[in-house]
Amino acid sequence: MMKTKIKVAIFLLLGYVFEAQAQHGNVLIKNATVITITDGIKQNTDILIKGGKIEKIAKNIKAKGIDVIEADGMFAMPGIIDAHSHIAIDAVNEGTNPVTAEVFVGDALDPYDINIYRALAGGVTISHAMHGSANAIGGQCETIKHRWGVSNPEELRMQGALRTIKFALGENPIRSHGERGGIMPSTRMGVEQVFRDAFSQAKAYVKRWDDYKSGKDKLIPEYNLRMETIADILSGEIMIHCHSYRADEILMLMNVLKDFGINKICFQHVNEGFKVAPELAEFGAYASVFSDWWAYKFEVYYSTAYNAAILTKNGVITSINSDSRELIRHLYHEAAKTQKYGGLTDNEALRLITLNPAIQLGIDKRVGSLEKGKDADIVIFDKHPLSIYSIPQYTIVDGVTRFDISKDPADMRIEIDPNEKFPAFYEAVDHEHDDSCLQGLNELLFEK
Amino acid sequence: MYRLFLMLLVQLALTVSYLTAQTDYNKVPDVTNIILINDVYIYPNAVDSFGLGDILIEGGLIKQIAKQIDLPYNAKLIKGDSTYAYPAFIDGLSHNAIPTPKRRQERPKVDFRGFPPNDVAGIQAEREAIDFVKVDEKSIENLRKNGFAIVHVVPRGRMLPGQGCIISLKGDNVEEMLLRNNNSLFFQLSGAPGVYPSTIIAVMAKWRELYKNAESYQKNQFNYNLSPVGQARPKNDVCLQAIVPATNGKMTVYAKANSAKDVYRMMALQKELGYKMILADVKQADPAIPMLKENKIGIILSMELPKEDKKKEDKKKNDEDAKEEKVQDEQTKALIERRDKSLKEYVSQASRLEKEGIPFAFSLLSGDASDVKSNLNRMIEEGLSKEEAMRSLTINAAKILGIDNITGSIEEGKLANLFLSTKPYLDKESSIKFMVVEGELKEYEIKKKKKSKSGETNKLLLGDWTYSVVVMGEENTGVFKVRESEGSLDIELIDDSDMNRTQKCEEISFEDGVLSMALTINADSNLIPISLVLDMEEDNYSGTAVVGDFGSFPIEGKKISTPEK
Repeated sequence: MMKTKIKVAIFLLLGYVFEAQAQHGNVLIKNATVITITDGIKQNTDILIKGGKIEKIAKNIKAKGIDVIEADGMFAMPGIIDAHSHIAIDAVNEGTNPVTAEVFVGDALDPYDINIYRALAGGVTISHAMHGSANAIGGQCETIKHRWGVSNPEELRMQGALRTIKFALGENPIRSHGERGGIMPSTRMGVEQVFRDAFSQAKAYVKRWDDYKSGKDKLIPEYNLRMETIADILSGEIMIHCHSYRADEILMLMNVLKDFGINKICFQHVNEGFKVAPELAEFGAYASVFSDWWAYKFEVYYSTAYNAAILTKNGVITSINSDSRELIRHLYHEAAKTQKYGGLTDNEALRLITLNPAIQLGIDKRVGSLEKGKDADIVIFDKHPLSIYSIPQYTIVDGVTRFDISKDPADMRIEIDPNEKFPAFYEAVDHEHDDSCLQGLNELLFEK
Repeated sequence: MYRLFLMLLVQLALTVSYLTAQTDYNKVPDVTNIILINDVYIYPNAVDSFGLGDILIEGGLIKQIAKQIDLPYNAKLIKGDSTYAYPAFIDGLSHNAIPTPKRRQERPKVDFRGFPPNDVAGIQAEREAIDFVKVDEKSIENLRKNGFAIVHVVPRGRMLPGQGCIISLKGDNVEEMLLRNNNSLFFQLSGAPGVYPSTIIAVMAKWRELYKNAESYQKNQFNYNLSPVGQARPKNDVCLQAIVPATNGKMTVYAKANSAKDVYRMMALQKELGYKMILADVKQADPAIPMLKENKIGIILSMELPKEDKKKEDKKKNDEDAKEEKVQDEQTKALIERRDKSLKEYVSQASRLEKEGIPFAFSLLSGDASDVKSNLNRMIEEGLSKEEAMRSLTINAAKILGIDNITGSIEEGKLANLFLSTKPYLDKESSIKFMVVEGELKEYEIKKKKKSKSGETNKLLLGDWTYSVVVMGEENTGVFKVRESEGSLDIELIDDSDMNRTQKCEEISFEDGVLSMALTINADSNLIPISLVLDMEEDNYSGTAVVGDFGSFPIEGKKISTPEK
């Protein structure tokens, strides 16, 4: 008893949640307009959530002893999924080498990053925390659930999500290594060669270990985590998410992948994707784009706001991402733009920020639509989510309400600097809109 | 001319500081290694009192503790005069006794930043801390005069700086100091600037790789030595060789983890790879509690605490500020409240560990030995028991480091590591009069605090004072001028590096002989906040300077002039 008391005291004092307590909640959402994505729209319908999973979607569900959200006149849809972001991680770029497959941003998760809460306020329940684009082969990424309030970084992970890795084409790896480091790649050709070299080395590495395991070699070979990781790409265990803009390079990478028998890839940004949409569809590649953001560097001028619509109409599984802690707060606006530019239907537009990114992250069996048995990741809007006037009211992750607009205090921080000079609440908000893919690279790019 | 004058004065200040403060019995060869300390209140385990008694020391060991011991004919007598004898303190992990490197070091040129040599990358598990220890390092005396006899020293560096050793703060040479070598493998999540591994994610990946390779290194060497004929010779690698003992449980990994996040990360790596680990220099220990409860290995907390908000106390006294406080909107008030709560959480973490029954020691990797007593008292105010506070620096530290059989308490047969305090140690007025490290004796002059009315004391401060402080291996000297205007103190600082610029000090307070003030300096267009706490004597002072995030450093100086009336 005493021990429990102490535990409770510590919990209250610190706001820390030590173990995976209260990770899965029970809620009954009453009388919502339910946008299922996979099974149409259901008026005046209830959603019963038990143990963090959707147990039932039907009218007039009765349940006792369970929290109820009265959602009359509101719209419930699957939690928004952002297939490209850099929030909630303490390191983005290990920009010291063109190939750093061994590094893993999941090692540096930051559950105290206030941007998680801000993303929740925009209805986003899952984001793909990515390594930056400084290297041709960057680090491994982590798919996180926005369980704001947990203390242990482990609890942000979406267990069982597909492993992913960041690749990058074009200017960023060329600037980071060719121009500043004087090494390959200093051209777009060089970027291709970096991939080919890395894949070939990984094959040779695997052979060395096979020779050892079969008893041909007696000496235990050197363990190389970089090569281990690239070997996992070759075996299809890890999916590539590649930073890309130009059509010629997109085709180039697909050719390289064909040569090495790799078929899991999602192109990120892919501003010139509209030029090669049939080729992407044929390869089975995915595309994750901005709705209308471009011209922030030379290779990103040839762009169109019709990109998402063109890719979708060509049968490419497409998503709209943020790559920004600001944009992540209104991805539903970004999706709505595809109705203005390209005339996508409501469901097509909403798929861009729900089921499609789920497919791209290999988590569509669990999230991305409202179906019985799926994770209860749900956002409830006051109006139709594609309306410019719509505002998220509740954001639920695994049945736990992590954002409730009626209980939204001014200060939602978890970690507070005990030496904060004068409370610097506003300092954490910054409106910089730069290329967050190159975060952490100032040191390398601008040193003498 | 002015500059020359100042330089001379600074030199003078330095010389004077060496001459005062202590009597070094070591300068004259010891006639005897037998010491009798009589009439002291003995606290053998730092907690329970033995009562008034005598301690006989011989050959660096405690020979006898009794109510009354007859003075042997060949013993040196130390009159205890009813002082208090405690076992000397143990610094759980720090770079003390290793000189600080120069602040500005040129970055070594590397051909490929993705493949830097191990020394540039900071992967140097083969280095040994003892090779860097200097017997005349300033920090040694600073530790000793604050009651420390033993330090677990780890090398400076980045990811894997090398192996630690345990030293005794005695003797004239490093060999004599060394108590135990290769005690630990020091690991921190610090990247190398500009080269691989530069980020925390690369450091963690590299650690996994090194660890796995160290495991196979051992097997390869073993198999090769078994039958070398016809076998390819495995590559030699001193660094991997040095990691091998950590992989087979013969060496403990001391993982530096300041923040809660780093604690989680270090625990995750340990769980994955399975080595023996002690978390060190921890400032947010709460996440580690479940793990620590399970394996009871102990933890080394940072001795450094977040600064207290002194303004708050002043405000209560000052009416004008009180008005200002009313004006503060609700939101700001709430923010300040949370900040204060956060501060409380930091200071009270030791008490939470105690309640969970988890032993802990303290590290001086961050923080200064001269703050130990005041910081312990802050923790005690937040719920830590006095007993556990005393144990943490003595027997608990000895247990965690695995040296409790020879030290950590005043017991017959253990090393004669103890100090005599004029009052119970945790008493604010107490000071250390004698320090004994393995029978080696130091005596300290007891400073008498001036007690006079504040108006008069202010007058005593007026004048020009020199200062000298070594920050990150660089000595900074200068003068600060204390004047009085409209009844309050006005202090300006002039650094020798730029005598044309004066720097105004703020938040000045002078109480019980302690002058505290704060200022911000501009170093290479970086604004660095500095706070000074100075123990003022009539014509000299000593104290600490907390310099931005660099840490706290001892500062000292003397009065060089009084203003003309």
